[in-house]
Parts: sequence; C-alpha cells; structure tokens
Amino acid sequence: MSERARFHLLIGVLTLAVLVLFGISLMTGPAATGFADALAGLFSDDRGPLALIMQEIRLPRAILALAIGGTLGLSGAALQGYLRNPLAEPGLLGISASASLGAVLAIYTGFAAMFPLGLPLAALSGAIVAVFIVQALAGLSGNVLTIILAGVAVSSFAGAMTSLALNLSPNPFAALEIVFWMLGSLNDRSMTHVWLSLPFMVIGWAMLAALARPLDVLTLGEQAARSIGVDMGRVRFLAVFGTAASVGAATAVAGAIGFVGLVVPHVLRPLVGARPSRLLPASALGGAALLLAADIAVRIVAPGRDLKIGVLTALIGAPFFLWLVFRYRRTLM
Amino acid sequence: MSLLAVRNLSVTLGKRAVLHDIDLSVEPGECVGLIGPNGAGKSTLLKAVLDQVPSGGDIRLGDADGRTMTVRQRARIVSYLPQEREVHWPVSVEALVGLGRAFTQVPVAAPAAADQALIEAAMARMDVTGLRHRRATELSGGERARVLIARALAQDTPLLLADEPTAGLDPAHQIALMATFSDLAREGRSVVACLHEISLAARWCDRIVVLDAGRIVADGPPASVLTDELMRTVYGVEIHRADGAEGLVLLPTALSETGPSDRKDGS
Repeated sequence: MSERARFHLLIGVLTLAVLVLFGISLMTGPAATGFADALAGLFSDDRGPLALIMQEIRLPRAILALAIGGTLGLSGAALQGYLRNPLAEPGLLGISASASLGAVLAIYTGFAAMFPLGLPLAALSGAIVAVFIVQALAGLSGNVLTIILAGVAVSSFAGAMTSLALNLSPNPFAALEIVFWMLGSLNDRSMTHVWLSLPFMVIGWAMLAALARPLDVLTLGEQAARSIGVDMGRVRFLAVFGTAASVGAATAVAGAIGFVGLVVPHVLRPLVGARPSRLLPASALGGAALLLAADIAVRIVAPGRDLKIGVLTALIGAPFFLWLVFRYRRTLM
Repeated sequence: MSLLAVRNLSVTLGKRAVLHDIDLSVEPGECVGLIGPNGAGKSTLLKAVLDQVPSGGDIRLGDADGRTMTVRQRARIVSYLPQEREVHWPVSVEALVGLGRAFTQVPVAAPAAADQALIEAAMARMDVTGLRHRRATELSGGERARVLIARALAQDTPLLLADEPTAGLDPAHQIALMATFSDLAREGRSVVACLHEISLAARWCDRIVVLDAGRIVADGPPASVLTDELMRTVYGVEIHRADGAEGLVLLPTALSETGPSDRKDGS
C-alpha cells in the first residue's frame, strides 16, 4: 500500500473512532438510557428530564471533549513541526499556564463566582496576555530558541503566581477549588461554555491548518525553507496566535489537560510517513478520540467520584511516554 | 540580462565587516565556482543574495529588485542549497525531494504530473531514484547530500546557489555533480557553487570568483585566475598543475613559505 493510501486509511479509521466515541460519550452517564431514547432526547423539543440531560449535560460535554482533544492534538503537532522539536507540546509557549493563572485569579478574587462565565473569560484573558508577552520577548526576527525560552519564562512566572495565589488563598475551600480546577475536567460544562470557547478554537484551528505546507518545508531547516518560499514571520504568527486562540480557549473551559498534545503526535507520526502536513489532521482526530475516550473512562471507572480527566490523561500518558522513549532509545542503538 | 547582479554589497555581522563592496553579476549559462579560504565570506555572500542576512547595496535577481520581492517570488528565480544539511523528520526521500515543489502543490495531496516529472528528473540526476522509499534521516552523509541537492534541483529555478555541494561526496559523485552543474549551465541556467576542491572548480567551472577577507580578489576563467601567485597569497599553498586532455588540473601540494596562519586575517 502506498504512503498516501495508508494516510487516507488512517484518517478514515480515526474519523470513525471519533464518531463512535462521540456516540458512546452521549450514552454514558449516571442516568441509564437506551440508545433510541437517548437519540430521541437529543433532538426532542419537550423539556423533559431526558431531553435536558442529553441536551444540557451530555451534548456539551461530548462536544467539548471532541473540540478540546482536537485542539490539543492539532496544536501539539503544529508546535512540534514549527519548533522541529519532538518534545514541544501545547503548554510550551506558556499559554496553558497563563490561562490557568487567569482562572486561578478569578477563583481567588471571587470574580468567578460573580457570573457564570467569569472564570473562562479570566482564563482567556490570561492566554491573550501571555501570547503578547511571548511575541514581544521573541522580537521581530525571533528565532525558534528565543520563542521556546520566552514560553518557558512566561510559563514559570505564571506557575509562580499560581503558587502564590494558592499560598495566600483566603480559605481552604478556595485552595481546594483552585487545585481541582487545575486538574482539568469536563464535568458540569454547559452549552454556554461551548459557545464561548468554540469560536476561538475554530479560529485557532484555521490558523494552524494554514501551516501545513510551511511545516513540511521546515523539515529542511529554516534557511532552506525560506529559499523555497516560506515566510518565517507569517509562520511564527500563525503558530503562536493559532495555539493561543485554540489552547487558550480549551484551557479556559476545561483546565490544563496534559500529555494529549505531546503523546498523540508521537504515536501517529510514523503512521503518516513523518510528514508534518499529514500529521496535523491525523493528530487532531487522534487527540479528539483520545480525550473522548478518557472522558468516557472517568465516568465509567469511578462513577460519582469525579475523577478528573487531566489526572487520567497524565496517568495513562506518562507511562506510555516512558515506553515510547524506551522504544526510541532502542532504535538508536 | 544578468540573472544575478549585486552592486556595493556589504555585510556586517555584529561589529565585524564580513563583505566589502561586492560587485558581481552572473549571466545565464554560467557555472561559477566561488572559492576562497575559510571565513572569506563565501556562505555569507550567498545568504546576502537571498536576503537571509542584513546587507547594504543593490541586489537584482532577473529583472526584479531582490530586496522588495516576496519570498515566494524569490523562490521562483533562485534555489539554494545551505551548507548545513538539515533533515528534521524521517520523511521518505521522495517526499523530501518533492519539497522543492511544495508551493506548487496542494498540501497532503499527490503532486501534479508536471511536478512529479521534475521530482523524478531531479532524483535521476542525483542518482537517488533507488533510495526513494528510504527514510531521509537513515541515509549516509553522502546520500543525504545528494538527496538535498536533488531537492534544490526539483525547484527548477534559473539560478542555483549551492554552498559546498561537493562536501562529503565520493569522487564519482563529485564528478557527476559537477557535470550536472555544467549541464545546467548549458541549458541556459546559472549555478554559483562555493567550492573547496580547487581541482573540481578548475576542471568544471567556466568562471572562478575568488573571495578573500570579504573582497573579490580575482574573477575570470580558471586558467587565468588560478595562478601560482594567487594560490600562494590567498590560500598559502603551492600547487602542482598540468594541462591535460581533460582540461586544467590543479593539485595543492604543500604549504607556502608564508603558511595560512600568516595570512592577513580573513576570518
């Protein structure tokens, strides 16, 4: 089978997986429902309990899992391609940490309790501030290393401020709320969260998708890429702001969910012939499938215990990553 | 009309002047060997032409101003083989060579027939067709070098700037590469190649441009440029020369009385 046919097959399989997992996610929850009833509830106009559960609780949760998983997979693949670094992940630019800081400050100051969207809006503001600081630090001609360093600096500062907020938190409940929020969860999200975050994510996806060809060419390094016709300034703008819009919005509604953006591109890279342009759609679908699966798992494994999805992805992601490193090490010897 | 014309080109990196008032024009059909000792400014000259380092002076590529054109316009006139042979992901050789056509293709899709033909021709010229399914990161140094040259050839531009294209190649592939450059020139294209192998430059280039300490110190046909005196003052070496049936043969044999360490500072 040719490399291209394999790629089309992979995209087909991943799409199918996402659709099936999306369906299973809609069927999963404490209220046991038959498939037909659930489907009827999803599209019914009456405001009965089943329709409410399906439309107000499970649908936004499934949509967010799909969109956020896709965001993490896509931005991870895009950043690894742009920075030509297999260790790059969506958090590297400091976007997640700053969005978290915004959310934490909202909880800390009570802003989050004032109106329902207080927290995600504060988180989004954090992400926006971070991206401008990174862009300003990196300067106009900023190279890849400067951007990584700027991201690390912003990340560390946001982390320190978050710790300070925890340290000085007015009461243990606030501290607990902060910690729980930072673990990452899709519990109790509404369609309002979807409408707040989805437009930003869609804009971010469009920007990152526009990187497909430039990222392929960057396989040859920056000098050769420029001579082939890659405008490095534009590439950096798309990579940084695309990540900020999509990952900022994702973090704002779900908290920091680790490892998806790091692991998914790694797993899929060999299956797409390592071509960055092909990795983008594959990794987006893979991320969506993984997060949908993880969100189903947290509801099945520990129903009623509110196991956080960020904990689960790290719990599964880290050992898996160890295995990847082990395998990689062997191929080097 | 010249394919490339620079006037008063100067480059200062940090506080160090690397190139001084370079005037150089390259006509279609010329295969130019750019030679000079380490640190003479050869690579910087190529990068300045491509606007990849800040520089002063005029640059014209074809009939356009090299400073105001977009990267995409420049890429249609000049292709470039950097000295650093970077390959960051284990993509197939065929896909890597295809990157020379990246901006005429739809991403993810298969190359169009015309693009595929150029890719095949470039791979055939560099003798890498048999490697097409290999991962580019798993090749030997010389194979990788040839694949990257094929990538530049696939870009199908009237002008090719190649920075030490022969480094790391075995003698057969060095000769094949220089013959390819010579063929490209005969097709009406131009090649400017930085070379350290004086013998290859003398044998295959129509014209030799000698850079020393950021200035052009000689420019002309190999036989008139590559004198014993020039080799002594610029490189600090003595040469053995022979004019055989295969053209001018030059072989550096020994350091001059004033060795390279005594040279005026060019680095």
